[in-house]
Amino acid sequence: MDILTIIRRELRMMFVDEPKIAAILFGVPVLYVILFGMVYSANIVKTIPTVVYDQNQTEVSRTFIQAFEDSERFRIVAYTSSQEEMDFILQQEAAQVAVVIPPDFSRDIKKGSATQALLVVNGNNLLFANPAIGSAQEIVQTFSAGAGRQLMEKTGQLPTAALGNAAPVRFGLRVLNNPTYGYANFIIGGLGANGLQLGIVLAICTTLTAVYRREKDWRGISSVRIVIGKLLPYWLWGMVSFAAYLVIADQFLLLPVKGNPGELFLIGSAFVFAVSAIGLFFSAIAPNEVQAVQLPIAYIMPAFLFSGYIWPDFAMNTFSQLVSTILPLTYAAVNIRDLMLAGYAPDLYRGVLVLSAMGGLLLSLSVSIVAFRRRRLRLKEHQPGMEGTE
Amino acid sequence: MLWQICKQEFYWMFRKDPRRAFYLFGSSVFYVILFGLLYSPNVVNYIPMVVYDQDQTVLSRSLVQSFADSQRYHIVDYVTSEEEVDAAIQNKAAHAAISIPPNFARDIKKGLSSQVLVSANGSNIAIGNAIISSAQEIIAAFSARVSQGLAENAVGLLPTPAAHYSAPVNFQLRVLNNPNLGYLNFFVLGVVMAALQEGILLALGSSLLNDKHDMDHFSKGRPLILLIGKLLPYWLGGMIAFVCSTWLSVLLFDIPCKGNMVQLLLLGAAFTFAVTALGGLAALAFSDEVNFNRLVLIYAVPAFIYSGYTWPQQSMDMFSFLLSCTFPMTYVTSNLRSLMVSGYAPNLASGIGILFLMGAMAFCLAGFVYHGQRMRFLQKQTNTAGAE
Repeated sequence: MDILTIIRRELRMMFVDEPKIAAILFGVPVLYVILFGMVYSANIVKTIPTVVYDQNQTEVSRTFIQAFEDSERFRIVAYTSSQEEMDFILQQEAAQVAVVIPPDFSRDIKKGSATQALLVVNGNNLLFANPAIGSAQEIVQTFSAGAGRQLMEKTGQLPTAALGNAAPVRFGLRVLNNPTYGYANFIIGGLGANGLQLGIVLAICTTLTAVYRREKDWRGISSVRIVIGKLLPYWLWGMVSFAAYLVIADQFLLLPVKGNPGELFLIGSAFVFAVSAIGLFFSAIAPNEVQAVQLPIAYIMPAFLFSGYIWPDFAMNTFSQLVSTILPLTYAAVNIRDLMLAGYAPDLYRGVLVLSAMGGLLLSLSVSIVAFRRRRLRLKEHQPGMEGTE
Repeated sequence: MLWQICKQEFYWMFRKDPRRAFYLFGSSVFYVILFGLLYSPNVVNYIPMVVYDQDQTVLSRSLVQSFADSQRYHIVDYVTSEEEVDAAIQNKAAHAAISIPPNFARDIKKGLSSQVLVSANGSNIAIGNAIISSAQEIIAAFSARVSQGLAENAVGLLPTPAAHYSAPVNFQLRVLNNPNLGYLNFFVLGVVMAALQEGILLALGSSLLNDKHDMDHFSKGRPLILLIGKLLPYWLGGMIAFVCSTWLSVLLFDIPCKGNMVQLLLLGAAFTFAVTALGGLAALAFSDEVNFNRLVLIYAVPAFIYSGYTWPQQSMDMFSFLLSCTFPMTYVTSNLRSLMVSGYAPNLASGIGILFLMGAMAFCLAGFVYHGQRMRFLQKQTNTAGAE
């Protein structure tokens, strides 16, 4: 049987005999991109519920609160008149943030003795806490600069000089690649790649166990041919799925996909190759189909979180860095995000090389394992009195 | 009868098919250790940064020093052009850059303000957030210090009023529950619950789908008892795994455990009950374990992300919000985090209630399905016996 026949047979199995295999491979990444595209459709966490405890109740304090109200980031849900009430609201999580204004807020500012505005943040969910702190800092500083300017003016300075003296160093921020800090932009590329890897592994991991089960059908065909013939259809279909998830991200979720298609194709094909090889490897070593499907569980979730996609590699300890080095998603996910958001990925070619080498290595390992197990199966059959003739 | 079935199930779990025990207990414990280690640095520090100082004066160097002194940043290079700043960020040699304009010191001394530009690579929000808040803080502190000097010199104020004039409103921050905004407290517990759920489902699938073919073992028993006997060991096992993994997260990684033990146990019991019952129902709908396992693995990530544990439910659109309400994870993850980290979870009671209700409904449905399947099985057996 030549390799084309094996490929045709495998394609037939994927699409005709067991169409769920093709559906899983194509469907999981597409489903993930759509599902997560929807969940993150707001893109930015806005209108964070906020409670105000204004002990001052003056025009100045109200102007200060107004600044919070005007920012899209906060939504004032309650005004309280006591510390206990405020703590209660925070504890009940009716508000995630509290703004506390001290009793002599206005008087202290006007007198030229400094005052303090307190921001209380519930740190449980960083997706609330981080943007709340950033925005509040900005609001307070702007307000403080304005108040400082008025004070300086009172000492007889001209307005411009007063502002210059009150806020001599201004903070300018330029956020590259993802200027609005969109969460969807940040995470969808990687979740899609994770879905793709899950789809491929789940689809391919039973293909070699089927060879062991019906060893006789495959007599006389070299193990190299079997493994490669089985890999190619999954690789091709995986590429289709990869393209589909990028098209959905670009066309329907309107996420930026700035990278050039050639480079995206390159990293995609290397990644699909490496992951297919991992799936085949699981399939080659698994005693039966059930365990072939269970083996990936130890791999899928860590693969995403250890890939450096969220938690950066320079902040990992040595153990985590080692784990991250052996996972293919490490070389693909960040590169895919860079290509999408920045249009350029500095580690692209390194990633492609490592993934190809990884795939090659796993593929040769799988071939040796398949050859070894097939030989054992044949030996078992020739020895009379052995069980294993189910 | 019930006890016999349970005993047999335990026997299978630990002796005949120890994979089940491994999944049930191993997955959540494995995840606690793995992700505890991953997030043990807790906050993102030493962000690589480049400096583009066009001023090269004492003042500009002291601003750079403020960044160098903060452990948030690690200055990797000093560059001499805007292009080099962009290149460093694009090549990821640095994730942040600070550009100080020419005449920085002169403008400030003249009473004109000057703007310092911080560039950040926004692709990774975990890094970006750390940059924005700390850079703002460092620059504000620096500005206040400089302004104080200006007020003393230019305006002739005494040091204390000068300081007050320059920064009349100070920003004070109090972060409750997770004071250094660490990732350990924020993330690990939820991931562990996802693993616990996977473990229960895989073990359960293995039990229900393997025995489907030899249902006649207990053909005389009542189907309800039979189902309870099969599910109970997994519920109990799941509870033990829940206790072990939360205990390990406290022991090994210092995640606080401020909550009341009874409440924690109740939450764990409700969650493992709901997962066991729903898993039982789902497993009965499948004919083989391979495909059930595929579904379980595909389900894991959406269940976690839709749970509102990271992306808050209030920021979801209607469809996502409704979908999130159908997953048991939604009612456990945030509650568990609040309970452990802050000692109080406002939605605890409703969460526990919904989980028990979900579980009870799924269990009743599973009872019907199981009964039907067994009747068909027995009928088929009688038919074949009759034919012979």
